[in-house]
Amino acid sequence: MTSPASYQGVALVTPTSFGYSKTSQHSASWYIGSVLREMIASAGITKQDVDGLAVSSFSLAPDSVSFLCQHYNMTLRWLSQLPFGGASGIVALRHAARAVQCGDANIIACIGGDTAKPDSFHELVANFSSFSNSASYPYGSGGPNVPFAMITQQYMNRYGARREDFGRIATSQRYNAQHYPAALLGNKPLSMQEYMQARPISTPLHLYDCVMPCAGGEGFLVMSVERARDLGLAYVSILAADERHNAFPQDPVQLRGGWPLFGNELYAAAGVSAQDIDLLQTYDDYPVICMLQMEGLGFCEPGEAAQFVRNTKLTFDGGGLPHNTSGGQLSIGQAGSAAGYLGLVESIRQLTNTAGANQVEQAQLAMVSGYGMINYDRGMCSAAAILCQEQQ
Amino acid sequence: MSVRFDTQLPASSRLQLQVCGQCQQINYPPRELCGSCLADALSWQEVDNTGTVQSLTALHYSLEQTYAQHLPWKVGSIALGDGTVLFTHLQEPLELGDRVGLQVKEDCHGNRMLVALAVDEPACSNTSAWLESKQFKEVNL
Repeated sequence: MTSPASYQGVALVTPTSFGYSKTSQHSASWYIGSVLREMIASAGITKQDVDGLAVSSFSLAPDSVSFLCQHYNMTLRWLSQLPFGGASGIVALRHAARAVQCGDANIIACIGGDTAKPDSFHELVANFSSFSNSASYPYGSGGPNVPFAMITQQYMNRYGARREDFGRIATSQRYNAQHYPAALLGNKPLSMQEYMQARPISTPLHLYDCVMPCAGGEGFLVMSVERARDLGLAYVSILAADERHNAFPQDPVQLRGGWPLFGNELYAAAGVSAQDIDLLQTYDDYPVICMLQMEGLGFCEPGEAAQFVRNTKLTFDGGGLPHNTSGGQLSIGQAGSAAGYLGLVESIRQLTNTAGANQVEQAQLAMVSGYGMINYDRGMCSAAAILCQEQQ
Repeated sequence: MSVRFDTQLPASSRLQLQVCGQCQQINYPPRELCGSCLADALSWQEVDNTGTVQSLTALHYSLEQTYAQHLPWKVGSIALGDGTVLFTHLQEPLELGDRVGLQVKEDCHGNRMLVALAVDEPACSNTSAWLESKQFKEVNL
């Protein structure tokens, strides 16, 4: 298999997180358009300068990205709608970067945004996919908790991971969220004792292993390095990025995603190693999935992530491996598809030194990972990107 | 309130899954083309119903009222001999690694469901009591 060509010359700018709330009466298009408005203002450009739009949303129907052109009264020449859940942001980044490199578009807005009506999570998971509808949801109707409980149980059984190990991820992220004002759960400290004593949801998963659905939006602009410099914008470059879908389909339980299939190539293309990475953003729909990403991306050996989190500080200021530095969706909330952009947006903030109270000192290299779309018993999409700070 | 789940399982108490007439691959979850060779040659056939509990969960939270009033509810991930993975309702007190036999039952709303039942003593001695306690009935043929 060939390696992806260089992403040289592409700049990621204006990381934007918007409007997190537990429930909302607004539509998804309100969140997506609001993120767009904020990014245009941050970049100091006009709406007419944006000629491409990549969107991910679970709650946009019956609208689609083409209809959004009329909502926002824009004439665009590049559109993409990316239904890849937690991998959406990195996939959007890859598509948009190629379009900018090839001149298909000049400035592309990549946005994940979702609303959360009182019953919308139920509606989403009760009709998520044909496989899920026939073979997963009828069995207890726990939604994604069921396949992730199966994965977590098997992971514990196979590798000797304990609940406390998952708790290290959840409590570290809550600490990070206490330094990120937009996190919906950031004002609720979480001790290991509280984590351990939480009520069971779907054993071995307990309350703090599960995300809280919410509304919100995340986005960034993709443009050429020349354009970013002309605009005087702090920007981040892409050293490497890749994705796989339905990797290792014969594994009876998903104890690895697609990352082992491209992790080494990713580091080779970037010219760095896992030891050089200053911060790691994993997709944290459940802590066990963070562990699969740590293993698949070479931060530790397969099956050794429990040991790794016992020995590594994961807080933004702990001096270890800062992980999910804004609290991740476990502490911010899971705003549907926006959760698939969250780690990427947070990394761009960190690498442009605009993170605020949770800023990681001297952050130059970030690994961002995405994972998404539980079709039946496993997530289909795995993606990752290595991002690099650029000096002005 | 009646809850309709479309598991697509045929009306039979014995385990039937989609088998490809061209490559003999067992396919699950249900689909229209063989996932192995893409042939339009799937038909529901009786298959070996013995498997192993490879993972399990006890649900303490459900999005549907039909389960919410009977929590905790146990669900198993069962691997058949050929590697096919099926989520099923799981007889108590089955545990990881236990051998099971899969059967199709009807729940109290008439939905056909996969149920994993014990095949080794002593768990299997309470099978009919467990089925009754969960309101599972024989498939209406």
